[in-house]
Amino acid sequence: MKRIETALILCGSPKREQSSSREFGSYLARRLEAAGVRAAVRSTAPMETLMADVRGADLLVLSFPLYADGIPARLKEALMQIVADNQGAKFCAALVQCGFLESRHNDTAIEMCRLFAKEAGFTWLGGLGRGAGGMLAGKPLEQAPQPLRATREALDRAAVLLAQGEPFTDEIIGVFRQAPLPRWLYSVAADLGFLLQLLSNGQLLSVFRKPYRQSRSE
Amino acid sequence: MKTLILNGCNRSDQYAMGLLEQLITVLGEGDAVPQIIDLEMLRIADCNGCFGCWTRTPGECVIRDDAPAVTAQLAYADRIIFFCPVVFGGFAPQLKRVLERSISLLLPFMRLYHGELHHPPRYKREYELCSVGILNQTDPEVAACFRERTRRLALNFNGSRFSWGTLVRGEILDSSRLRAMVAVREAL
Repeated sequence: MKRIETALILCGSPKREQSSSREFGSYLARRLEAAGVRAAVRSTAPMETLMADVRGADLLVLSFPLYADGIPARLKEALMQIVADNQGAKFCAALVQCGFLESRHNDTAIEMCRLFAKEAGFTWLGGLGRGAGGMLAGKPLEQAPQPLRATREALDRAAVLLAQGEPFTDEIIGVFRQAPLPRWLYSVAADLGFLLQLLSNGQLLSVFRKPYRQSRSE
Repeated sequence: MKTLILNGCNRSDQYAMGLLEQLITVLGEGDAVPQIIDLEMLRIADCNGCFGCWTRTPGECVIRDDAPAVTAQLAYADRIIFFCPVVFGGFAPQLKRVLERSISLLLPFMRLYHGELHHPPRYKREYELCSVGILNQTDPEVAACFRERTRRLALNFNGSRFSWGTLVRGEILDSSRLRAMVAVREAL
């Protein structure tokens, strides 16, 4: 067991506000602080200071939304730079969330994070994948709706393990994998959310629009 | 049949360009003369996660750069070949960025597909995906991740089958292997 003194939560969401990834990451940072770890949250920008910040951390946690089934391109570029920077021994973990209900959409991205850690020479402590991440709607995890409470409590336990340089347990990973709502209910709620946005943008009747036409040669 | 190659390798990468040339030859043996898009030449910004392509300008990204023109090409492709270096078991950022900027090919709604929720296709097409990746060194874990990466993307692209393959940088180029990579389709 190695005591972690400093942690960096690297948030891979491009959103400046209403970012569930940032909220998951910020909550974890607060729990790590409570466990005696100096923790900071930052995004990939500005890239100039990123390498120094990563170098100063014993633990690097990647917190990001699933983008087109993978790690967001900008974050991936940052990870390539971290590998090239040859940062030495460090612990690494990941928190991934997606807009689909099922957590398994995140599995490939978590595996990519593990492969990044392997390439960088970091000790991999595991990845937690949350489905229905949009339910957080960019609010602090302390204010999470009831179905995400178990996730928050699991993150509390995860922080204690990370502070000791210990990997996530199957129990914690399992809580993250549980669907917080029945599929039909999530599907209806997600569709309704988009319909309301379309309505408020005056685009409801254009939802099925196909702006690109097939050329005659195709 | 429209076959599109998204080239995520740089033109200065001689090994990759040799491979790309062979890939074009192999694909051209059938009835599909491929169209190539060199992503290095394009100006494509990061997706900002606004979902404007679903709710503000349905079907089109709100960022005005070269990405919408690529999406327009993808919309009516039958077969899309992703060609790039493999990075952590996935696509290189240059190519990944295009995928992120092309979610307008899907509709915002949820539907059950292969036992899980996915977005339905906007253009009601069944895309067939193929990935050809270049590894820096032999690594079965990275190759396995690259295969799974392609399979998952095919699921989200309303595909029913996919093909894939990896080559290790410096490996002698072999047309028959390349042919097998693009010809052997796996079911999802």
